[in-house]
Amino acid sequence: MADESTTRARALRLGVAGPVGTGKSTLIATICRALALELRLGVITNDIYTDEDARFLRSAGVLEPERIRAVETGACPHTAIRDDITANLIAAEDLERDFAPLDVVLIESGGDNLTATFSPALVDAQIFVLDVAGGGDVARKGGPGIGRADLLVVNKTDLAPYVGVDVPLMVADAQAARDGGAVLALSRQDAASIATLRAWVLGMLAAHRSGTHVPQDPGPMAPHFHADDDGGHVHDHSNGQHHDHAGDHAHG
Amino acid sequence: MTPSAGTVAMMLADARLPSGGHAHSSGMEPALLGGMPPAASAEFLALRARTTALVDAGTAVAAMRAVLDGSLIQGSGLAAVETAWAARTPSLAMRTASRDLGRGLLRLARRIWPTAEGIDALGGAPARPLVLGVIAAEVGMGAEDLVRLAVYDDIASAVAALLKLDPRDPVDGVTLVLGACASVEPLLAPVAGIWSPDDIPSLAAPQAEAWAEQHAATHRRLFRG
Repeated sequence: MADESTTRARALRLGVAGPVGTGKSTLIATICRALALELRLGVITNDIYTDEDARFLRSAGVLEPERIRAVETGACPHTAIRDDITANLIAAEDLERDFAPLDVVLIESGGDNLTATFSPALVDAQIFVLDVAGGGDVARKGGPGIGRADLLVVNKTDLAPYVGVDVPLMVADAQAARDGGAVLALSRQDAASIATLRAWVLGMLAAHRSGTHVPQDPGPMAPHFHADDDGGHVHDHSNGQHHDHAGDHAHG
Repeated sequence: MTPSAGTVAMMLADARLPSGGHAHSSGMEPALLGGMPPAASAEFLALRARTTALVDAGTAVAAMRAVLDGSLIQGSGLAAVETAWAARTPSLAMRTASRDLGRGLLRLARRIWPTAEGIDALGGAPARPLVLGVIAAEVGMGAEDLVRLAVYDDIASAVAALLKLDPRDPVDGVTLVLGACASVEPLLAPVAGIWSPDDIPSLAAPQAEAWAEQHAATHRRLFRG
């Protein structure tokens, strides 16, 4: 494994995961627009079928086309971002070499389902994207990405009136599912929400460079609930965390 | 502790090996998209086994021997093998796919055998059989085992893709793999006996090469090649 100082010196690798159609590519385009003037960016897309996402991003004109690379996943989008990350690591290293120095490499997962999350060996941090059009109850259902990605985005809030979703309630559900972890209600038409997203990315980059951010695996499974004399709490068993009931779990 | 050559051969043939192989179909998706009926899969695999796969197998053996006989010392051994392989692999799409696979395997090999003789002479993106040859030399694999490994891995990869592209009873897939591998068994001894890159068999598959070229130009595909 690369030692920590090597990791800190290279670009922040930021994953963007979430179900099909929730706006991952558009979110990446938004990040590029918000930060392209101050950061050196690269993008890797993992399409399940076709290189549609890479072509969309190239045509969006948010970045030089050469800085956007597509990885094919052999019908296994989970595998390519989680258990055999070889092709994505090679693509990231190529981008970082060809455009050195880069500040951030954004890696888009192939749109899959609620259980697909990135390996911490591939990305330093990850954003999980839901949208209001997928239904207000999705956040409550939880899952590794919803529960433990570094940031959960509830996207397309401008559509909420048309799909009958109560955004504050969906955000509150998400915060509950995440033990208070970061949730951002985002709309391309809401400048304040984009400013918050921009600040979050810059904050994560700073934490990556200072070595204060440790990549986390959201885990393959949903957390489960233990009743105990504290009144119970939610935790998971990934990352070798074994029933350590002290520390950073929020108790409820 | 040094792993046995047999264990390493099994590891290299294991689809679970994390080296990026899951994104490849050994020409199967190009063939199906090119119009080959799925019912012709057995014939396609037999053809693949006695052409592309044997070229790769011979290349792996030549690479292994280039390391073992010390021609690396003159600095030209593996380069000559790569040149001979490329001359026998006229499809750019197929060469690119093999170099993608080779790069993924080399990434893994560098971590496991960082001091293997020849590994630093492979460059950044060698064809997969060259990496196989260097690993085989390092672990002391027999030439016939190396040939069978190269053929089996190629065919098994095609059949794994077939089960995704044209689902069927998976046991039928296993039968296809065993049948294609068995069909070239009588041809393996001469390939295992190769020393010079000049002796790598020159076996072309023009239709499969044309399909590979068409596939590389399409935007609608699941597999890299």
